[in-house]
Amino acid sequence: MSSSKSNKIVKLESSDNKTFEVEEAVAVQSETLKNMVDDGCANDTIPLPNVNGKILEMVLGWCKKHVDETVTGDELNKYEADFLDLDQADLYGLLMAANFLNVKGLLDRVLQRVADMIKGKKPEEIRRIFNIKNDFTPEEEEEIRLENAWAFD
Amino acid sequence: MKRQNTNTMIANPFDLLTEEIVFAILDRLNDDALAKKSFSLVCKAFYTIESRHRRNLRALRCDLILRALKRYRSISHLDLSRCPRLDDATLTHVALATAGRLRSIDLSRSRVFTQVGLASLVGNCAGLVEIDLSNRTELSDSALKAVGEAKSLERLWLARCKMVTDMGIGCVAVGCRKLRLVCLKWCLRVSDWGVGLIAMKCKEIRSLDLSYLPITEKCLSPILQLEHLEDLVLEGCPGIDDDGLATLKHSCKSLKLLNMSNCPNVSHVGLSSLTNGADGLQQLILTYGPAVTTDLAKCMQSISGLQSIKLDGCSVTTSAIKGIGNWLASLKELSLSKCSGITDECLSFLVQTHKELRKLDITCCRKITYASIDSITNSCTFLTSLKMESCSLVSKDAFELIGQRCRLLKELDVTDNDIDNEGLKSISRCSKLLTLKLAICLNITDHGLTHVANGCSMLKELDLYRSSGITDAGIAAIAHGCPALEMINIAYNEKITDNSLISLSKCLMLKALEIRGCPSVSSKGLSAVAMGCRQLMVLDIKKCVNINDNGMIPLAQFSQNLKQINLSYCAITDAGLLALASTNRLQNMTILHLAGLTPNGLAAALLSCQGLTKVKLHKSFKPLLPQSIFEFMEARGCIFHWRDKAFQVEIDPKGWELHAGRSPEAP
Repeated sequence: MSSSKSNKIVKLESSDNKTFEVEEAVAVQSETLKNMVDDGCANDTIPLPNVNGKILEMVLGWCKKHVDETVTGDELNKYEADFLDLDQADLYGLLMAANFLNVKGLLDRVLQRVADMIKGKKPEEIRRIFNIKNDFTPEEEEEIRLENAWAFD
Repeated sequence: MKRQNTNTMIANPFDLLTEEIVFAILDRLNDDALAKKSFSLVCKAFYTIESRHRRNLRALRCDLILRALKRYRSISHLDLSRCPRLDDATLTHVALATAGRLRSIDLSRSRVFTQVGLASLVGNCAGLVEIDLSNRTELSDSALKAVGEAKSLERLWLARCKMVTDMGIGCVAVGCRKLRLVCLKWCLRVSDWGVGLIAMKCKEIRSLDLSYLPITEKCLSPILQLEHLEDLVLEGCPGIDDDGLATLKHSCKSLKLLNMSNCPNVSHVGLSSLTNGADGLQQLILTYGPAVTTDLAKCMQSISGLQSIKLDGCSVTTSAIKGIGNWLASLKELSLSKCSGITDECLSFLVQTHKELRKLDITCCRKITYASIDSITNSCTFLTSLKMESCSLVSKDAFELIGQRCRLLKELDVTDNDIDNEGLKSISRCSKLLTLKLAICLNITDHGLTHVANGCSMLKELDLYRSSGITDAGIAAIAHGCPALEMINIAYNEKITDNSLISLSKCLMLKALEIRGCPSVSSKGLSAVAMGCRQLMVLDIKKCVNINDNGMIPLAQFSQNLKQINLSYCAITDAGLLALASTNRLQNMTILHLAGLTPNGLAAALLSCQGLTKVKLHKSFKPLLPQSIFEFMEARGCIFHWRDKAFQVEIDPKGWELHAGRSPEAP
């Protein structure tokens, strides 16, 4: 393995046994991986049992794009916007992966995306979007609704 | 880890997310109270998570506080300013409910509790660092003795506590040694002795507001010796004068902000005593003071860190302005609003030195012309805020320069100027514009406004008060192009019809709508806004004589956030007012000369609206209702403002006064 940082490769293995090789500069976008590299634990393949191959590929794609100096500000904005156009299953997978791997910019974006899905929606609409069952009785729901409306801000 | 079928939605996805992640999502909803409330109603798990997440609570009703605190066990900041009848017993229960967690409490404007409640609060909440007791005009020294037991206290507001004396302040000074911020504005019975004691005992003080106190330079001596003092506000202190200040021997190296506005007895002589050696000074506020002369400018010449100076309302000599142009510091913020004496020559010289200016206020600088705008836009290309209301000599082509050269502008006020559509077209290039004031701009039309709609998509505030060239088409363009719009004013415009309001109903973020004196607007348009703009908080439809009860029903039904409303002169009767008042959201209501309001209707509306804090209405109603109603309302924390204005038949009787200068709007 070469000692110069720019050529160093980091190997990662997803939960479904897919391996990925990326440059160190790309990998250290993840604070978690950066800590491992700094501690000297990144010499062998790093196993990531919490992240499946599809999601890991997406996260590494994001990291690569953010390290690439040829990408312009506008291009990056468009990339980030398109990136989050996902179905919900992938969105949650991405959220947990970004949290575990601690990729700040990505985590921020995904959290905001989920928050935006909640903003301006009534409870029924939120239930529909996230496919959640209403386990309140009508009386419980009415009590909370009144409390929300009258007791505080 | 649950297996994920990536083609369909997960059964209950939030189960997979850790509490840490859900908290992070809720953090991003902190400025959206309605979103969090919706979230809590989704299912039991969400309800529980939201109740663990919330740290800030503003209680709306005294009788429901404790219930809210049972639901929310992690409250660290509690705002009780909307609970005017907070008594000792309730305050004690609040203290017991929040004990270890409470860090900050706002008790301003609540009236009934005494030192007993305060003692119990302080005794139970050892972690309390912040208490706001502003506007407690009858608060006594014994209450401050109780506050003196709050050993961890860092920030204390006592503005307008007119009954507290040096004795009470002394207790606070001796007991709360960790204080960093103290506000004693208008505490008229506090003198040099009390203030001096604070300065001597509380060595951690960073911020001190002594506005309007009868203090002299005697207390300033220990104050200037505070090692960490950053902000000193001495607004309107008549006892501080040049002779007294000249006796001061110390200087304050840590001082960053000095506010001496409204100090008529302090000229450059006294000021230099304070600024001498204040090498860290960043902000200076000298509004409405004596004349600004070259000597005053010289005081500040070598303070290299000065960033902001406000001289509103002072008469300024041209050589003083040139003196400012010779400063070592490079200003970021300069306010010369209503300063007499500003000319093209001195202003141009000034901006050439201060190229880093971000904010410039030249409101009512009536001598400046195109030349000044040319210099300003040439030198200060980083400007984010420019206010130039009533700069009457500036010709219309000057406004084109603004859009060409100052693309970073976020705030622009050109009220009462000769700007035309060409100027607006140029300004539409400032794509970051958030606030645009075009009030009393008689030469602009829809054509120009459409350019703004196309170019300024981030626009939040638009003021078109009395800009009579605008019609429905212009408003439609804005509604379409500026989806982030939060506030719009289109008062006194006969051409604005329901179509404008229907367009505006698409602006989902709209919080404030002011359309006074628009006779072509009716309940149809208002209903559209009510249904579309659910965040509406402030509504002013005074003199919209064609809005009747039918407009009130949708407001009652949809406007969950409506807090302030002006319905004067509208065709509203008892029924409409009651429908609106009984939803219980309103806090502030102005109801002069409603077409069909009777004493009974008024009584019913007042009694049903439990959150009312301010009502403006006509004096003639006072004898027509039982006195006990007003007493009851006042005990509930509501203040009545009685107006004597006679009914005006014309919609816009003040319109002709336009050219004499903008007259202040009557309530």
